[in-house]
Amino acid sequence: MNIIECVDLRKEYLSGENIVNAVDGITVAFEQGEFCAVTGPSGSGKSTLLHVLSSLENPTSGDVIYNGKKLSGYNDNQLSVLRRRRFGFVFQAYNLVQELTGYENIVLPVMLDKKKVDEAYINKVIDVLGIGDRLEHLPSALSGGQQQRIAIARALANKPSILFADEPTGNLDGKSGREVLSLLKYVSKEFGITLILVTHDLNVAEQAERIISIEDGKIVRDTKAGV
Amino acid sequence: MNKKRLTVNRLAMGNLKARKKQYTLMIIGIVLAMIFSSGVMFFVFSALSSFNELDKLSFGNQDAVLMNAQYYNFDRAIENDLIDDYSFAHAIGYGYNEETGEESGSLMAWYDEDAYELSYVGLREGRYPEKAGEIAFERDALVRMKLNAQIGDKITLTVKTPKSENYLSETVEKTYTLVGILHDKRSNIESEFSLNIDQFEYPAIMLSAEEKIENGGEERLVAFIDFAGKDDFNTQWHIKEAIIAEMEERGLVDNEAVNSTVPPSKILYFNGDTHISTQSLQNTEENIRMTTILAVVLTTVLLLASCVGIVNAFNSNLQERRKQIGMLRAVGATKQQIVKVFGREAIIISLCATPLSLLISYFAVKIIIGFMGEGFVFIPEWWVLIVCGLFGIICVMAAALIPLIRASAVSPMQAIRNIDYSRKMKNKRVKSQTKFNAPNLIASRNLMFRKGRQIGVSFILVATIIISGFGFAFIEKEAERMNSFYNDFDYAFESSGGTVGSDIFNCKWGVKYSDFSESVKQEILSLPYVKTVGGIKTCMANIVFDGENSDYMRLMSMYYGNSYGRYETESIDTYEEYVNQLTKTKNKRYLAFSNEVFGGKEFYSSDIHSFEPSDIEEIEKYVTDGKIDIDKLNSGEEIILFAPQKIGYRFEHYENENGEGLISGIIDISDGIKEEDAPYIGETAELSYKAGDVVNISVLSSDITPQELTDEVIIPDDIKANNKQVKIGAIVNSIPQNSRWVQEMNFLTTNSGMNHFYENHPYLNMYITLKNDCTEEVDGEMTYILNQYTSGNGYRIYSKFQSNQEKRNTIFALYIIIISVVVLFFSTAASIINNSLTAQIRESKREIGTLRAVGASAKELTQSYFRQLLSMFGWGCAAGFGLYTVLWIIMYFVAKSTDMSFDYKYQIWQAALICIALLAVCFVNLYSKVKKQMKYSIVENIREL
Repeated sequence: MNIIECVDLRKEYLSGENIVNAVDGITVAFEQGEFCAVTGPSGSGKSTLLHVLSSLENPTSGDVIYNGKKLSGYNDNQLSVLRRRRFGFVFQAYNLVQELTGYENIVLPVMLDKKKVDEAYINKVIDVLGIGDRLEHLPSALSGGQQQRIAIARALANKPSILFADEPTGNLDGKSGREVLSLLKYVSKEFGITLILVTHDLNVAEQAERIISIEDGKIVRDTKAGV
Repeated sequence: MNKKRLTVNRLAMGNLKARKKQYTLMIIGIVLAMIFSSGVMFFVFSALSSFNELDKLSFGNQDAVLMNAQYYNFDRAIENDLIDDYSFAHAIGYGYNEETGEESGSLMAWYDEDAYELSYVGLREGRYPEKAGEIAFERDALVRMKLNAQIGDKITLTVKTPKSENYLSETVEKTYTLVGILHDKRSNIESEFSLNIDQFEYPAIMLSAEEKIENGGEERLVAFIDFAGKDDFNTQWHIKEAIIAEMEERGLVDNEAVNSTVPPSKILYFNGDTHISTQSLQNTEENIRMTTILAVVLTTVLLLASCVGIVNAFNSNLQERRKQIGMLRAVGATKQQIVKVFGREAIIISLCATPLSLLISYFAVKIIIGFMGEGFVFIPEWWVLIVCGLFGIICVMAAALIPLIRASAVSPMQAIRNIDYSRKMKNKRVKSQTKFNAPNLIASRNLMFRKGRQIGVSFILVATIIISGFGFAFIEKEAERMNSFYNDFDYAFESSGGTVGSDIFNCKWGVKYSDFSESVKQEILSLPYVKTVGGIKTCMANIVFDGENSDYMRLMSMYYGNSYGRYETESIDTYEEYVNQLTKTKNKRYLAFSNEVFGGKEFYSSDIHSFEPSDIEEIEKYVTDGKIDIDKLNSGEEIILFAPQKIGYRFEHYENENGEGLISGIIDISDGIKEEDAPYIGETAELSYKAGDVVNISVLSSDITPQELTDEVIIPDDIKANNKQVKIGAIVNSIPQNSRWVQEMNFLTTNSGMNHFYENHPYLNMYITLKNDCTEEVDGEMTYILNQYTSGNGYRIYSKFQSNQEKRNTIFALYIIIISVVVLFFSTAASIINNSLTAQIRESKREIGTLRAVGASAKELTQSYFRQLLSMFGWGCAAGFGLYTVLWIIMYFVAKSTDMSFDYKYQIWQAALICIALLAVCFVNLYSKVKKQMKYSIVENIREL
């Protein structure tokens, strides 16, 4: 069953006087619980695809369909609610709120949703990510790897259906990167979450069940592991 | 590539050009902050100069004016170090229009060259007379004489020629060409002009020095004197004494009259407070001291606020500039080079902002002073602009360079990363909240880490609150002084006597002399320009006590020199004697009235004053007990008692020149006797009456005139008594601004109420107010009409029309000043607060993006920033109102301990309104800024940094 899909998706940018087709008519669907890596060279449009799919950016044309509903029909507030309840994001630069502690950053989406924190679940996530001792620190007191773990925990806090990760290991050293990646894989399996991960690192991509390769805004290859 | 072209200037300019929008906003912020200080200070000082100029035009530049000065030898006064300078106006005639009569005329004089400067004659239009046949008029005199002339017109006057203290019997008709219109001197527009024309007249008509006096006449001199010492009471007294001594020497002084005036010379002090018909100059020195204190507070607050504003404007892109420094250092720029680049940038900014702000300040002040109305001239105080300009430049340089020098001292990467902020966060321990309102928590953490910004905003709010608090209190005080119940008339008919004659009963003179019955009042009221006519009646009334007279009443008797005890005293040598006199001794008249009229009962002689109901209602706010009920006053059922709560006496012991010890008793009705006042302690007595008490009032009257009242006549044969029992409806302890001189321990009621005590009592004084839109021509017309009523009945008209107009203009000007200052404050405060928020939003783009990515909507983001705004306002307002309160209390006590006058109200509602309006403006700006960020995609928010 498709959890999210896009149809003839286009995203154009103005670069000087030229129009750049960052995403150029992509149609693709993602199944519930799958782990998909989107890969391609720099400037190929992979990150843009992720941003448009996750509603961080609006498409120039085409549709993003989540759970059978077109996102183009959502207003700003509905999109905010969707992001805080159904989507989780992990950025390359972690993007933690600097003034909040690790724990506060993690539960931020739940608090924005004015819901009660599911303590057992959050503790499990914290446990799995191994960040129990860093929760009282402000992000500036944490290492890159620790910050990224907090960011993953935040992305999982509301039990999302989809986890979008944009170069989550890009800022980390090899060891930390590997750890973060295996954690992502583990939590998506553990909690049954679709993981769409953008990377230019083939080693990372190879960990995925499905690899979509993009060049010049178009999908050039879409392969499943073992195929 | 041409390496030479990459100069420090080019780098600095390149920086400016590349961030045009940000720098424009920054320069606007700086300009506003500088206008804030320079504009307000320039304005205040220019306005003060303008007020000062107006004051000199109205009162002259001299310390005193001496009429009939031809008898006095001024050179001797200079030799004796009494005066520094003097100059004359030579009165060679008294001119009037035949149609409006002698009373409307004025002395005509030509001026010595120095007299122009000393008397500070000012031209409204045209020029001074230069040759014979030319004439200049004070504007009011022209109107008063209904001459209706323009510059260049011919004017025909009937001229009386002075001789000695009088005039030649023959008058002559003379025709002059009007060449100038002069500024009105206060003495002429607020004068008792229907009194004898040769007294207290300040020339309102100017002639040229070529003009000759008629044959047989003697010119009369008006001297303008500059005192050698300070213009204070002592100097004035010494000069007066010297004049008297000299007059005596020449046999020109009637010794018995010296205490009141100095005939035949008469001194009018215009710049002191000894003899002046207006109250406006009373307490001048105190006002100046108070104003100086206020000016110092204002200047300090303004400069600090301006400094905060400039620092704030720079802070708005400080982080970005820090990054630039990091980049420059990363590519090898030395610290000196960086300081040069950014120093140059700061100079360029100063050079843009300073002249711009000074120019705007200059023109803004010019325009505002133009709005302040006629009479106000723009007198620029250049030094203020220069000082503010220099201060601004220093401030801009400091604000620009200090943080950047600090930034250039750290490593390039640290500068890029905003190491200060990161360090602050690293070192801060916070406890995680397990449950929180996300917008509120983010707001409070932001405030925790960005305290500097909050302090800046708080400071500007504090300044706004303090300035508006004192500013509006100042205006209110001035407006109240001008519009108070006792000062709000345009004309007054005042009798020169009233109930004088007896202090126990009403004589014929006091009661029936006046023609001002109710019908005259109605007649005046029906005149076309008259808005209101208020009348005052006064009659003697005795309170008759059933039991023993109280100490309070005895002391009050002593205080006012009434019938109890006082006249028996020859000298007091001991306290016992004094106390005895105060409390025991009764004089012959008192005993006679007590025994023969009041059946042996004790009594106190007071007055009943009656007013219009509207005037009585104005007293309502001073009521300390009971309530004013106009109907009950009208029906004679109730009366208002005006009496202090406490009265006390104390003694002072001093030695005379022979070394003999003397005792002097002092009675104080303000607040009783305090221990620190009384080395020889007396006693304090409390008022025993309460609202609701019933008093026996006996109004005695006789047909005897004051002239017939001799020492032999103690009780006239025809004495009649109107005895009434009346309830005290309300008690008033004091009436501030009591310029109608109602004395304490008297009764007040309405004019209708008066009929129950003394029927058909004529009005003692009448106060006339004109409709608001009346012009000077109307004033001339009214003066003419009202003069008809006064002829021959001993009343005089006291006109305040012109001076009221001037005062209204002054109040209007003050409003313009304060409102302009507050508007400027408002815009600067709004700019600083908005700058601060905008900078924060710009710096927090990434955070905004992050929050949006995790599901925060526009509402939550706005809420978070609004919470920060509210917190800044909360602290700022609390500090502002707190500091204002503290300052107010300090000023109150300083004034109290140094006997300065401080009657500024504690005024906060305007400041509160301003804060609310500021909050609203900032909220709108905040909302639009957040909305703007929401227009960008989340990715753009996150990436833009």
